[in-house]
Amino acid sequence: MLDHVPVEETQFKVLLEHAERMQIMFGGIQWYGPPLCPGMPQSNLLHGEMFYLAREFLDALASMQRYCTQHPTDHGLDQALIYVFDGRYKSFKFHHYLWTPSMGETMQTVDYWAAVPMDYYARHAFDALMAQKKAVKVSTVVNAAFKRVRREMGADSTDEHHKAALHSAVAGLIRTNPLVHSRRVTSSYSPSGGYTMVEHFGIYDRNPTWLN
Amino acid sequence: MAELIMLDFDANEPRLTADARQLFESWRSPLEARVFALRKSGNWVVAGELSYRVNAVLRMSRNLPQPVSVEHMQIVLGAVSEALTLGPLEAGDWMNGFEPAPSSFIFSPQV
Repeated sequence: MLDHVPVEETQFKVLLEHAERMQIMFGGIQWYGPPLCPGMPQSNLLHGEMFYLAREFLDALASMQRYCTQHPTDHGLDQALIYVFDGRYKSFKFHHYLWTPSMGETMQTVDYWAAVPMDYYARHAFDALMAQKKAVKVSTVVNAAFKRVRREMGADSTDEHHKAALHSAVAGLIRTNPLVHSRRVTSSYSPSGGYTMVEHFGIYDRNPTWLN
Repeated sequence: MAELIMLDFDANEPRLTADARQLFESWRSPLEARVFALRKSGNWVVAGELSYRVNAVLRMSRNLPQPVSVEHMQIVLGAVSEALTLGPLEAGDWMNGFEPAPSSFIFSPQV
């Protein structure tokens, strides 16, 4: 049942750019049923719907909450993930929330800081990327991550190796993490003709300002 | 850290007079039973569409003078009832969507 699913992780970049270009706010709710296999809470996607106003979002969630309180034992819903893309203001914002029937009139922010990669270099590259407040060059992220690695490992003769490994880790994040936004900038000052700016969408404003 | 965000559903509801509220509730309860039956049978997509169309009453009521009177509520319910015939959708027959919507006997606007 993948019809009617408005927001997929692989499309985050495109959706955010669309919201930014059109200067609009929109979002999606994805309703999940009880997991099909244990430990995979997102394995049973039931339905997804879009909203273009905070009021429509509140309507949808309120009616689902009414439904769940009317059928407390057999509502068949496990959780809902809520995504909001807000491009109405100068800096665009991405929000992500979790709602379960037991939460009632509250919802919970989903924390992207917790999604730390397992790999040693990828973890440090991710930390450095999350600490950036705006789009920066890849080399800036690598250098910031390198400082952390140096602090942990101490200085030795393997600096070049660390830098190369961090660089490939950042490149891997750009390719695989849908919330890493990269942009190619052409510059006549760069020997290779340009450079890549990266930033992470997860850093943006965790206050639900779009609700008002 | 995950933070808890308070949502105010009541502030979002349009204000209705007591009679209009009662009319709306009596109109909505069979539809909610239908939504439940649809979800029970695994048809969450159609159920979501139906509850979105039911919520059209709330969206329309917000643009009316507050609190919404019974007369206004009757007109709104009559208009929304026409959009609730999901027959072809529920049957999965998308081509046969041209039959005229049978308007509800009670809630059609009395002009």
